[in-house]
Amino acid sequence: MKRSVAIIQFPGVNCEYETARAASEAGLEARIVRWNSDPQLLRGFDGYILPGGFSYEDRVRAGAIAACDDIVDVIRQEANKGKPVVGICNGAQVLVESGLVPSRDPGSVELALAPNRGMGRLGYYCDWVFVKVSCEPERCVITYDLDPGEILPIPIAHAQGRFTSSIPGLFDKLEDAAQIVLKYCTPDGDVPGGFPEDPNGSEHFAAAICNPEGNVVALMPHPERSAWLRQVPADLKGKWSQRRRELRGKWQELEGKGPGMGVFRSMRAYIEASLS
Amino acid sequence: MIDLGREPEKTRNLLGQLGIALSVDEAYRLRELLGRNPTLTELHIFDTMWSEHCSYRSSRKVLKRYLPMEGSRVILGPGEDAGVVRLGEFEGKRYVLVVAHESHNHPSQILPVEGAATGIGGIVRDVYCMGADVIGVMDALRFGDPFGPMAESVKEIIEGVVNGIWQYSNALGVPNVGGDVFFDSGYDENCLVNVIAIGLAQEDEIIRSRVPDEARIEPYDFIIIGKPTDLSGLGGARLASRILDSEKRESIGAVQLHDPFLKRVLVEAIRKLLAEVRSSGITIGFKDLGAGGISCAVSEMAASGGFGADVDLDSVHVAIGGMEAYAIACSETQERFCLAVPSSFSDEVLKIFNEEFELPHIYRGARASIIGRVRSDPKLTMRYKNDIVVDLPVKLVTEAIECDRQATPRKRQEPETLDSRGIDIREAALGLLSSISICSKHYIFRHYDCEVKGMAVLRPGEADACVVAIPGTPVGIASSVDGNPRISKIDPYLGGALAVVESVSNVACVGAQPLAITDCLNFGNPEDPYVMNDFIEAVRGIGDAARALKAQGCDEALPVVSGNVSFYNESASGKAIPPSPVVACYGVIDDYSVAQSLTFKEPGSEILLLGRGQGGLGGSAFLAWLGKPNSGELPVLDLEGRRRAINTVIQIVRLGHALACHDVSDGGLFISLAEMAIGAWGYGNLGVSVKLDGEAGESILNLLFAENGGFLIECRSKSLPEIERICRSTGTTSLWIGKTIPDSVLEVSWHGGNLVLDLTDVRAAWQGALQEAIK
Amino acid sequence: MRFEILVRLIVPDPWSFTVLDTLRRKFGLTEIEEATRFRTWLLSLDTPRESSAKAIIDRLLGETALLANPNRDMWFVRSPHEMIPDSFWRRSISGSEVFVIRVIDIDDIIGRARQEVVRQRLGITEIKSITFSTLWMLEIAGDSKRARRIAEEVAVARRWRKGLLANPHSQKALVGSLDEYLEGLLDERAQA
Repeated sequence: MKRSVAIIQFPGVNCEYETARAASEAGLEARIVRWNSDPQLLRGFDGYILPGGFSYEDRVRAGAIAACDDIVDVIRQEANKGKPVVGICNGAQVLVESGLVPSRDPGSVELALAPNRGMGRLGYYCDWVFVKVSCEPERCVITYDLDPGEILPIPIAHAQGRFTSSIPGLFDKLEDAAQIVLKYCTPDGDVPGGFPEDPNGSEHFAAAICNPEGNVVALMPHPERSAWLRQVPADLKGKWSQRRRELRGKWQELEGKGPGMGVFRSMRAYIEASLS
Repeated sequence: MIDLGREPEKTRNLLGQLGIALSVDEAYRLRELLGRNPTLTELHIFDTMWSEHCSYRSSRKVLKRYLPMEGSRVILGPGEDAGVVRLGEFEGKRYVLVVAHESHNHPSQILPVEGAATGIGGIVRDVYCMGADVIGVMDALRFGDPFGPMAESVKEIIEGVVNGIWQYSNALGVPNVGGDVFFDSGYDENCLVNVIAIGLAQEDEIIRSRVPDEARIEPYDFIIIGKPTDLSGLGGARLASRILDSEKRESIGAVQLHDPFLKRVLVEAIRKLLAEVRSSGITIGFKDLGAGGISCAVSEMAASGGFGADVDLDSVHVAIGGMEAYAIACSETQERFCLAVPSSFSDEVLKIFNEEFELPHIYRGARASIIGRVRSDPKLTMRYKNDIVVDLPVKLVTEAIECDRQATPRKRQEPETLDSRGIDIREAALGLLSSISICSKHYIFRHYDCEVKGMAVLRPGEADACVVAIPGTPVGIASSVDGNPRISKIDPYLGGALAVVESVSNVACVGAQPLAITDCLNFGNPEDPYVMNDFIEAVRGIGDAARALKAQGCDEALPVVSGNVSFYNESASGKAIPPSPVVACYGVIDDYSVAQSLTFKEPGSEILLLGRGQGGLGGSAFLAWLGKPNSGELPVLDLEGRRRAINTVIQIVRLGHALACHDVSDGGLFISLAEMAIGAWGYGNLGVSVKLDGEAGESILNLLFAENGGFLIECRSKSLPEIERICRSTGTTSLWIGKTIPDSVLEVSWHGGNLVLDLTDVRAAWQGALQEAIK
Repeated sequence: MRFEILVRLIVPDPWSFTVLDTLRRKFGLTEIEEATRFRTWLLSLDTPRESSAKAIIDRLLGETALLANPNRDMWFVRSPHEMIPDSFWRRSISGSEVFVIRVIDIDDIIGRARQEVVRQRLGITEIKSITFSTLWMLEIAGDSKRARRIAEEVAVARRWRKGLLANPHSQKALVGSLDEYLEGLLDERAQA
């Protein structure tokens, strides 16, 4: 039986279709569910993805208004049962604003995704970056199918992507508990030397943070935008771009798995493992 | 009724008091057509519909005379909200491209963020209402000189326009698929913001902007969906037809606030609506509300279907109480659409928008409302508070008016002779790389989301054209927008023709077959005979080039399927912008995987220069950098040569011979080589060693920097014979000029000299200059 | 010398609507009857006289669109202790308690960027600092004690549906009654 995920359509999100496409490609049954749908319908899914976009046009703060919707409470209840929840970009902002991540003190808002720092200007930044898997595969829902230390080229597109907190020592604790699961890095996997390798000034170079149980993950980069090899630019460094260059004239192979597909395959593997 | 009187002076005063910009003659003409005095609402309707912006009164004849608008692939040419072109049949589905191209110049000058944002907001509406999904937007921007006397306001406008574009299109979730930017003191007081939306649909999904024939059989309603009607848009069309007031404030009524959030929700609700329409087999009409608001949308939908309309203005959802009839009828409030649906389906429409997608909670007062009925006779009536405020033959509203403008050719200045003594080539090369015309535009386009929708194959900066793939198929769609004011201000005809050549060449570089073009024609005041002549010349240039650039083995012109004319781009002091024709080209590739980035890929590969054109440095970025824009001979326009070169390059790329391809344009051959070495992300580390011979007696400046066309191709040695063969068969010149090398240097040698630049220096000059210039 | 430039849209503000709709419908705080957002600039100037400070501010507002644009915004330049004229803002619900919540980004990239433009590009050296903040005016029914509790509750996001307007990890929130605000600028009070 195919495992199902609901792609939550808050008003103003805009990555729901390609996210559903990527999840389907990974072997999940993906369905887009509107924010005001019946909670009973929602409870029938095996997992949830909060896709990217601009829920409520980032009014007040990115993710802040959507975090107050009824549907978030239903998702919280389902997450407490162990079901996986992945928030991508704006979805990550919703998870942080609703206190689902990092959940050291469950239910309390412990982080912010603050305006980007370090790029020498205000506003939105869209580019490809590299992230490194900084935990064991079983640690969380998005790393199940990835190797520790694996380097993934992946796009970011946000104005507010800097994980930060006013709680002293929180990031050290997250580090110790392996809750920082993806980190920005150089194309070779080293610690970034500054912008643009570190695109937003996130604490501990965090690109994705999970809850202690590992079933809820807030992920700033967009795996659905690097889910197919075709999407990877030929002119970046690293093996993925090398591969893209080698496949000139071979579109069927370019429609194959890209670096971001690992996130969706991980989610499927996680669901299958937890339900078996 | 408004008694217009018989004394012109008094009528003029009366019109002025009422805020009507119609001339006295026009007002009398209206009275004559009606056979009575008009009502206030009627006066306002014609005030908008007869404006230059809506009526194309100065331009219509010229466009008709010179531009090819038809072709076997054209499903819908200019006339409705967007043009529709057949893409082809893939995986059993017949796809079409839906394209629209417009300017939002005046509003962006007054309120840069909101003006640019509503520009995107308006153009995507044109495509959505045809039943298509928007898969990309492009922006052609022309700003003033950030080093000139108006630097302060120029910088504010640049920042605002870029913010407006990203705030709208990123939030709406439409990827940026290209654009260009020029800086010239001619735009100090009038920036240009030209926007393009590209939509994808299946052929049978296209919805027309008219009441369908089925309305003869069953009753049809008009429904307005979206924002509540307010006063904020009154006078927008007129604004675009008037010279900017130096005070700026006077135009307050035309200011629109953008709301991409509401639009995004509307788009999803529309998706649901259209799915239900298709599944239940009914036929609807759908149109966006732009200039002229409800009165324009309803009358155009009714008239083009051969129907009439009864509109009940009391039923329109409004933002404030006490609005007058003319304001409700003519307001240009953003984020609204008009539907014509069978009355039996109306409740379903209201449910989708008002309940399922909760419009009233998304924006205060937003909803779907039934505002009237289709009538079978061609009359337009509007009622408000028990009064009949409009009662007209509907054709009267939509019928075109035209006027003949005088056109006088300008006396062409003889180019100054260029004294090239003392120019240091190395200094010139690095200086040009860091000049604002040539340097990297990453600073601007990294604000734009080019990845959303997940369809990207080649993004802004990666190649000469952007490419997106139709998911699940090998089919790629390529697009590019161009128009060089350095040329068009010296020779508008050449500027128009080269805008076509450049956009088509860019699409060819990625191996795409050009299918259609759109244009936006930005000029000063058409009542000035010189400006009018510039306009005619530019249109003639576009037409000649579009007719010349036929595809291989095909006898059809490249059709112009949509476009827009923007006149009155002039400051209060009478300073007009340079003639600015802007052309976008759209192409299709059967297999996107042949499309390559412009970056050098392998050391030791061959570099060919194909189809080099002739001509001098006139209009080049080099002369602009040198501060001698009026010197030099212009590029020679050899359209037949360009056609051959373009079709040759398409063939070479499609056969998989090109590792990289880039055309020779802004900055000339040297800059093109440098860009291929630096690479799209600046990571390029392959050098290049080339030897240039040129024509007998040709100066090295000309060889390096003239913008006379041609293509640079990187290929493997084994591809050389095949490329040679193709070039011979098409009669295209092919010149081997050198090889890529593993060392990170740019080596150019010529008879009697050479230039060696470290790639690190080249990259440094090119990368940060724009941010430095405009911050 | 310190001033605050209060800026509001000349047309209805969608942000204010979203916040009001969220607080009333989702938080169930139906006592909140109106919400108005102002973008504000807190300026600190080093000039000998108030008049010269005002002249600099007038020049900024009149000749540039850095802080406000007359085609979109209306504004009021306020010195501490100055009343807000009715023509600019007045309570829409009579008898309601008005509470003011000022939210400032800890990084305040916007304020600092503007300050750099003013200094570098325009060469105005008298302006010592520019701080950007979002100022919310909430009109709340009921007694003032409960109204204050509501204002304080919605100011800072702490748990799900407990707090909204500021995220304490990247922003500061200052809360006061309208009178408290009018007595100063509500910029030095410690957060309750």
